[in-house]
Amino acid sequence: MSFVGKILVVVQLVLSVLFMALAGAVFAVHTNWKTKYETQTTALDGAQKDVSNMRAELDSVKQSSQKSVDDAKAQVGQLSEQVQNLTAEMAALRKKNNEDQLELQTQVALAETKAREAVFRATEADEQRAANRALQTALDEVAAKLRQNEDERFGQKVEYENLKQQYNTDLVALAYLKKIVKRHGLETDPKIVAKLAEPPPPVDGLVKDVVLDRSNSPKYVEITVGSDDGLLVGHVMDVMRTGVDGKDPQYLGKIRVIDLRPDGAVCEVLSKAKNGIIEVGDNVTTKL
Amino acid sequence: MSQRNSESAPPDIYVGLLFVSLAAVITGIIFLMLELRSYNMLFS
Repeated sequence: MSFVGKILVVVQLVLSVLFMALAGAVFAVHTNWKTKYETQTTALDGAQKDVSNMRAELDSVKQSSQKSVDDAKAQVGQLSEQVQNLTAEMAALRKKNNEDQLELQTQVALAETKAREAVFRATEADEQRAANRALQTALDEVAAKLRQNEDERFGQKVEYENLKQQYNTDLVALAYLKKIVKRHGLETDPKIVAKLAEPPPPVDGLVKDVVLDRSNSPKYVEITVGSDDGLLVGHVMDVMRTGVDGKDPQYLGKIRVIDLRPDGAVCEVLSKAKNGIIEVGDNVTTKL
Repeated sequence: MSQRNSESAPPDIYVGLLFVSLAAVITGIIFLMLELRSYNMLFS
């Protein structure tokens, strides 16, 4: 065998061994791609089915999600409107809160003022209580005095009733006495009587008229002086005739006033002189 | 040469190598056939 044949045999051997090694390696570590393909196909079918299911579920979820989104949008709209309302309400509440805070501050200041006033009132009340106690003591004293006065008043009332009864009795007696006095032609007015106790004022007058009785002697005379000159009923005057043509003055008698006028009076003749008769023009006077 | 053709030469190492090579080729072919059979591509 030539050298080349030997080399070829060796090469043949090496390549055959390599071929066997490769074939053995392929057989030993091969992967069954068909089985794997079928497995993968089955897995793919399952995955596609799953995908379909998932898509259906996705559509359902999408629809429900869309519905949820729509509901959420509607709710968002409502909530936005509610938020606006709440914002407006919050602004109003803040405004009211500010007003309330202001009012609170005012009320706190007022309360502090009232508290100070209360303290002052309490002090004043204490003072008033002290004054009240003093007044109560004074009131007790006054009440005691009042009771005493009531007793005195009751006694005086009893005395008054007795006096009133006595007064009525005296009035009856007085009326009876006045009747007697009137019947005797005497003055009953105390003022006139008091003045009668005094002497008549100094006046001079003239006899104006003379009334005669049955015996042709003067009974009543009218004179020219009256109450304007100070005369009163009951005053006694003298009648005289002044001397004329050389005759002596002549006393004619006494008269007493029984009726008065402002400028004249009517008098009753009390006593008459024997040497003369009262005539018109004679003088009357209280100065004797 | 003509002597070599008329009388068979005794087998030497290279002949053994050729048999070994043949066995390796056959073994490789068997491996490949088994591999192909697993794909149903042989005798189908």
